[in-house]
Amino acid sequence: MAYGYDAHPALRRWLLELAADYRVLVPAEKGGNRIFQEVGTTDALVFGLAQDRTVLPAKKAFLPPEEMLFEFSAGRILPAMPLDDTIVFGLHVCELSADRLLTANMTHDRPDFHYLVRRNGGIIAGVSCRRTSGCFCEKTGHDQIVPGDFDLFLDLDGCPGWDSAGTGEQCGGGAKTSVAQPRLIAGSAAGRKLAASAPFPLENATGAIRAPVAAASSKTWPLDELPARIRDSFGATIWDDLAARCLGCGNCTIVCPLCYCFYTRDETGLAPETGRRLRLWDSCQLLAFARVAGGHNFRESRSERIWYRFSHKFMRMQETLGHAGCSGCGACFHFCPANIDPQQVIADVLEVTDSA
Amino acid sequence: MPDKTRQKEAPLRNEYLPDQALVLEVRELAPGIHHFVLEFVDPVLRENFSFCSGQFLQVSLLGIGESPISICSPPTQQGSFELCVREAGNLTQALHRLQPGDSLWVRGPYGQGFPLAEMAGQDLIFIAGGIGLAPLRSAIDCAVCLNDEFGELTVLHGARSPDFLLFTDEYETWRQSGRVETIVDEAPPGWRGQIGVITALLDLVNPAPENTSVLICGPPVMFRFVLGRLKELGFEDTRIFISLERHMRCGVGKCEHCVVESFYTCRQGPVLSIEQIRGISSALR
Ligand SMILES: Cc1cc2nc3c(=O)[nH]c(=O)nc-3n(C[C@H](O)[C@H](O)[C@H](O)COP(=O)(O)OP(=O)(O)OC[C@H]3O[C@@H](n4cnc5c(N)ncnc54)[C@H](O)[C@@H]3O)c2cc1C
Ligand code: SF4
Ligand code: SF4
Repeated sequence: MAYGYDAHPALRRWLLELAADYRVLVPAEKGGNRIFQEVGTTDALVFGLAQDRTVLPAKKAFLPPEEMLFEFSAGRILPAMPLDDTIVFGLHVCELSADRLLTANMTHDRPDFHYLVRRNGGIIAGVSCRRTSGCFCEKTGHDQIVPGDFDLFLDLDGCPGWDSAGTGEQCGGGAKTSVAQPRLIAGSAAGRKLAASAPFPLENATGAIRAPVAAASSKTWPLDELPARIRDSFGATIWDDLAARCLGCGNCTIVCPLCYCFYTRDETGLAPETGRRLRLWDSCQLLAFARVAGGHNFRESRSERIWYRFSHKFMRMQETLGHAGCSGCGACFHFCPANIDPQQVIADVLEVTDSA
Repeated sequence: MPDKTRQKEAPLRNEYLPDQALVLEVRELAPGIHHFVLEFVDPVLRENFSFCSGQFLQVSLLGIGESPISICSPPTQQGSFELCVREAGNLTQALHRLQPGDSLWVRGPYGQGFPLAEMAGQDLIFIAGGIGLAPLRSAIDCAVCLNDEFGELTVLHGARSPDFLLFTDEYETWRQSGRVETIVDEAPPGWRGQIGVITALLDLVNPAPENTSVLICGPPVMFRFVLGRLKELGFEDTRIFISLERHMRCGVGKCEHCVVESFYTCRQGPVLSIEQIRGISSALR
């Protein structure tokens, strides 16, 4: 039995109540998929909160696939004002951890205005997860969050209809608690305030919240070593082998909670003096990503583009932000038409750089 | 009501809003290459705008798009600034239709320029291929203007053909502070200048590496040959600076297009010393 909104009419009522004041996004069913949707625009709040992954990650709440930077009209610029009243409800631990790292990235060096207005004004609420097929957050260090990384967390561990016991997994950090009903854990003042009207008992977070431990937990990755290993693997044949399979479609980066790169485009109305400048998600897996006018392409070969993707995640983000830019959600693998599995890729990188 | 208590205290700067600048003058320097003199519409910005030679602006036309373009005038110039643009695609073609009185939009300056302050007292060699003279011209004019601060200046400029040699009417001024040599790939009969590759100019002037810095901008193919020759001449990696070109969208290290292995061309570059990029094989292609 899925532990869903329908199983909890009070939760559903509360979310609808919040939707009067906020833009509330929850994972809900649409056309057989699980998608973060706005409460109020969908009646289909029936999918299990803790079930399989969504198609697009929660980042879209703060970094939309397409957004306006400004409008222009008759030679004047009218800045876009991003909305700062979003609540995203139903993120798993890895997604909360990814959100923290993405926010650190957008704050780092030159802060990104549009993202941060949305994110700083937004509220994120997590929920216990059962492991999704193909996920591996314990390997990438995104398997726990601390207060401050989240505003609220709906702990379902021990709830009726919440079957994490069957897989021998644990939720809610450390020893299994025996709460018979969901409880909310507040990780920030904003979360605590919001939870005042919630239909659940509220507690303050006392420590880290952990994702359930993998049943057959395989070894974690040497994340500190990976930057050097990835660097050393540049030009290795593993990347050529991957290139022979990869279609260069960019699915993997679109569904990644920690990809954020973009391109810009101007759009005009029928009258060319009015229009908008947009930014849109891009992907380094696409051929034209590093191409410049005149045709020169700084990453012409697919094997280099694949190396580049992994280097951003396991070398660059690790080095500049201290965390791997891979949450371990497994979405890229799940949505890859060529079944390219990051766990295998990293295993191969470790293998080919081992002798060195 | 939405809780605003978590909003950051310091106001966030919106990097993506450009400022309007007016075209004061425009002239065609070479086929498909235009030189613009511009001023900011906002008088405060016009007064306070400051930058380093080698930095670039994100230049745009509303409804067309945005591109990185180096500032080609020296930081010592007050009240106006200049760009030199080669027709390459959408935006750069549209820029070429601008007339005096028209406006374009800019944000920046961005990136690291040439560390001219650290080069005080040294001889300077500028090596420019084609449009690569644009960012170098800012540094040359700066060095010419602050003549006493530097030793001898040497400008080496290569172009496709004589028509494509840039800023030719300024060579006389530059020569008062040093030497200017040009070379072209090919030339019509009657051309009395040099024909060949730019390394031939290095052989011609045969510079000594002591107390000398080298500033380079040009196409990637040029880098390899020039750097090889400079190494033979004994120049140290810490004294050679190149300006790199990469696809760019944001200019502030967020769009990821300009990354080379572990640096952003827009933030740590576009000007980098050879020392800084040592071991990064993909930097010099
Ligand atoms: C730091 C730096 C300084 C530069 N300075 C000058 C200069 O002083 N004069 C000059 O003529 N050119 C300069 N260029 C090159 C110039 O940016 C490109 O020619 C220009 O972006 C082409 O844009 P387009 O819209 O005409 O072409 P399109 O092919 O339509 O390009 C579309 C978009 O792709 C990106 N793009 C395409 N080519 C390049 C490129 N070569 N470099 C960066 N982004 C690119 C831009 O975002 C551009 O808006 C510089 C490039 C860099 C990176
Ligand atoms: S890995 Fe590629 S698609 Fe993802 S953010 Fe980095 S450059 Fe963009
Ligand atoms: S989703 Fe798979 S096939 Fe598509 S670009 Fe990514 S790795 Fe290649």
